[in-house]
Amino acid sequence: MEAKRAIVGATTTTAVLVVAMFGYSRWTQPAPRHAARAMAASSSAPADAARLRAELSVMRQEVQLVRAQLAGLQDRVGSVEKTPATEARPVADAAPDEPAIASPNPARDNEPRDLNLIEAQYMSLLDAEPVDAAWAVPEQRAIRDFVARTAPDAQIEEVECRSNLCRLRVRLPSETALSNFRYQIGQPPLDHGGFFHIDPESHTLSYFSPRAGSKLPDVED
Amino acid sequence: MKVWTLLLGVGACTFLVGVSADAATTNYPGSYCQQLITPGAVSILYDIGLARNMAGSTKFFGCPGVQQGKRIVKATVTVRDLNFSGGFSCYAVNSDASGIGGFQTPSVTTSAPAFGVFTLNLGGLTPAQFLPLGSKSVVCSVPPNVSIDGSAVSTYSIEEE
Repeated sequence: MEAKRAIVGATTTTAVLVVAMFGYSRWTQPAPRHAARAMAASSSAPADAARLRAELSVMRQEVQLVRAQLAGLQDRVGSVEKTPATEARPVADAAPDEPAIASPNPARDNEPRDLNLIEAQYMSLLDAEPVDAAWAVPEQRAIRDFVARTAPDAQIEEVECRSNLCRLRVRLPSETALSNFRYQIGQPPLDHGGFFHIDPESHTLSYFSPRAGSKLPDVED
Repeated sequence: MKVWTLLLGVGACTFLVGVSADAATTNYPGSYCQQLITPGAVSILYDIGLARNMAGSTKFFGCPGVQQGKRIVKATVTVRDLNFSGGFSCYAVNSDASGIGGFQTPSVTTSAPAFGVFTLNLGGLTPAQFLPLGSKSVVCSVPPNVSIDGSAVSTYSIEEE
């Protein structure tokens, strides 16, 4: 009970701090997202557009991480609330005939991974990469062509390649269309392995793919 | 004498490491595969042990593996490619329990003019790409049927560790 109270308290404090920090960062950066986009569009100076793009990227990354951290904290609070007291028995009480688990970290092995956090980590990796335009631009075009060919009714929300990673975010009109498209990922140019994450409510799929000849980097959640 | 003792020790350690790796390979018949959602009529034909594509267009087959709670270290698929102008393309995937996220290996393809039986080594996933409680499967795009017999997934295997 005390543990639960402590976690709830920590969660509330963290949430308040996170919201306050986010609000402060927005307050100290007066150019909002829409204004920044408009400025970037109207500005003729490429340097300004690049700077705004970098700022937006950092803000997006921070929001993703904050969301993932909040989701993780909510999950932990939920699991504490649901855990019956009998599950917290000491190891010595375990039945002697229970099979030994060979894994060095069985709790970690059996815990579901936080997909939001994995996606946020890949976003961070992507945002931290320098842009290799000679590769990124034609690769983005190839990915757009692939989507147009395999899912003509899809709405591409984002295609971004930098120097080693690409991210595709695409919204499909239905769950069936999403499943159909999802299985076709694996065809060129998205045939180098990757990580996918689906938002079932919006029928949106995010996919991270490495450059040909590279491996998908490992991330921890 | 010391050299022999050292060699024996290294050999014993290597043997023990090999044993403790506890890898398990499960083999499946291609007829375990199912046709995945694609536009048009269902075209999969279950032959004895095989799953054939009888359609005149490429179809996607999903071939599930029994979840043994460990990561994919190697997956293979043996296919019967009867199409001279189109090849197989397969990858292995580990999805989470809800099916909304996962990691997949790079795709491996048979070359378009290839004809006959081929085994594709799909590789595996790293420990950081392991999603417990989820499913494991092999997904293949199967080339169109151009003769009486359709191209087929013959067998597949998933090694977990």
